[in-house]
Amino acid sequence: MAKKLMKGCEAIAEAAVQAGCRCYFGYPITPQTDIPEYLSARMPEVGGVFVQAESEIAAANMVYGAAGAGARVMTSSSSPGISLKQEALSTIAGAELPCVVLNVMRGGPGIGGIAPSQGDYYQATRGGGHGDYRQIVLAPASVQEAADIMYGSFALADKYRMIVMVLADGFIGQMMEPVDLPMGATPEVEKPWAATGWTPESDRPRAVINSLYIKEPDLTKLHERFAARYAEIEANEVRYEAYQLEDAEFVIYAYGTMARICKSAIAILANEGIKVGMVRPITLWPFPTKAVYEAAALDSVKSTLTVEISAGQMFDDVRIGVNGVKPTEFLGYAGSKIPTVDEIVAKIKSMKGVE
Amino acid sequence: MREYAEQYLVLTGNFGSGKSDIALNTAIAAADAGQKVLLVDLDMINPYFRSSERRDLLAAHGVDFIYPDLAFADVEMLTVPPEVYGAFAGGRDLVIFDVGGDAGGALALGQFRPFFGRIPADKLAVCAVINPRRPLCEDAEHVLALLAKMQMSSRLKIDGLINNGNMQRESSADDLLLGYEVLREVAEDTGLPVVQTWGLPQVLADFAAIAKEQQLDAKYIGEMRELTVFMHRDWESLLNGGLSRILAPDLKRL
Repeated sequence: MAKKLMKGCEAIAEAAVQAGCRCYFGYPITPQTDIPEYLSARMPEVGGVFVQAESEIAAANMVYGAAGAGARVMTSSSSPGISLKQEALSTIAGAELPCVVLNVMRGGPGIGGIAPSQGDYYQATRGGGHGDYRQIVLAPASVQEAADIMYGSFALADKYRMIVMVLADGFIGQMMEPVDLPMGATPEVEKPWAATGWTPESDRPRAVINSLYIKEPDLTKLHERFAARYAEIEANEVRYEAYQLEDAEFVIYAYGTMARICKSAIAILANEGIKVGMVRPITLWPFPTKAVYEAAALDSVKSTLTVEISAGQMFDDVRIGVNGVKPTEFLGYAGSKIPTVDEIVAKIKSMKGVE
Repeated sequence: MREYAEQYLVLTGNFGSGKSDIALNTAIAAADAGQKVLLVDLDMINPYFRSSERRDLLAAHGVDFIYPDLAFADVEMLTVPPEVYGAFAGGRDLVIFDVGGDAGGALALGQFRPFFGRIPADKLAVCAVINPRRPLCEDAEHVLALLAKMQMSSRLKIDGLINNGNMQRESSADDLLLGYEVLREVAEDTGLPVVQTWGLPQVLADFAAIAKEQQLDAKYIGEMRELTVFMHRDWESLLNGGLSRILAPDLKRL
């Protein structure tokens, strides 16, 4: 397929269609309204379902229903809307159902602002809804990567029967770049658990979609399954980009758009003879703890800097990863104030003790 | 007797088709040629990447401009300012309406139907800017559906097509060739003329050479216009200040 000139939101939406997603339930909110806008036109073309629900929570519960019936299904929203969806997402997690949720983050808390932010890291990686559960969280740093990640998310969700959250920001959603779109549906897995309609002639037990486990040890067993699944994911699904770590004097940890801004700072610093590498987590859960440690532990590395469009949320995971092997510093702001290239350059210089 | 501006140009089209850039280029060229120009930013549905973000540039060229209330307040509740009605008064050589994308964007024109209706036909041009490299606009079938929807929601008849086939920094003559092919089919179907073909200078020169070599029909090319890109939406430009408003929120606002 020839390249197309697409906004991040459009590329993400089309990648979902290409991956075989045929059900979208959502509710508009800036800066991701382009996704329902696009899919409202696109889903009918491919025989899919598009519903603009009466609210975010209704949309998320429609996702619950469609996922329970075995469909490839997604919803999308931006920060305040993602908060509204959490009741249903916790239920989906409890019922062990696969789905894809996109959060195009904006500044918060509350209604916040509409400018890009990375303030939802805790919410995304610590569950979001109640109950001891995890979701796979992926963070793209470009329009192309957003499309690629979205494309792969449905197979990942199906494989592990869990929520995959794609955590983007307003830059990714609104930026327009030429993209290559993947083609052809990603592998479908058998879903013998799906509630697809049972009759006495069916050669399977009744499928019951449920997140209620009153009688022990049922709930304990659910969490034992979770634990085994999470261990498998942590062993197999960690993704990150290691960037110019060789001989690096400093290591930057950043994800999403922030990492792209950091790359510009790294280029400027390299011109001035200061070698800076970067580890960019692509999976925020499972977090690349080992890669974070190994980069910090390199002999050439003096100290590390985490940069986020938040008050320092991923910074917690970085500190767990670095585990005291080198000093850790932080640059970032809560809300939507974005650390600039100049600020990052200045911060690294101050860490080196030069002007 | 009612007065009118000498010429009205209404630019509609698909999302991200380049309406704002064409509006800015047209406005600046006309103002530089000594015309009295008004640019109305009537994009009511997209709070980002709007022509009035270039208001300093417009002011420097002496172009008057009107933009929605709250356009720079980072809110999603844009409203049409009453000043827009002044666009239908006399005293100007050229009035350009830069409208929001798709049918949803064109809807903002509807309320001005009575005013547009009183403008003599030879003074009003309603053009659809098409970039077939954008999604849901890649072939004649999609463009025809889009035109029908935009006409219905704007309550204005589109009377010209503009080829703005491009891939931003990766643009080549192929993009304009695709635009030519798609718009030729649309023109044959609808009888609408292709009034302009816009491109970056080198891309346009390459396209002109190909057009000559392949003897493309000038009827489906129209006037060839060199484009200066003001509305940067890609990463490199964004870092260099294309989104300075968001990158540096403390920036002085109007």
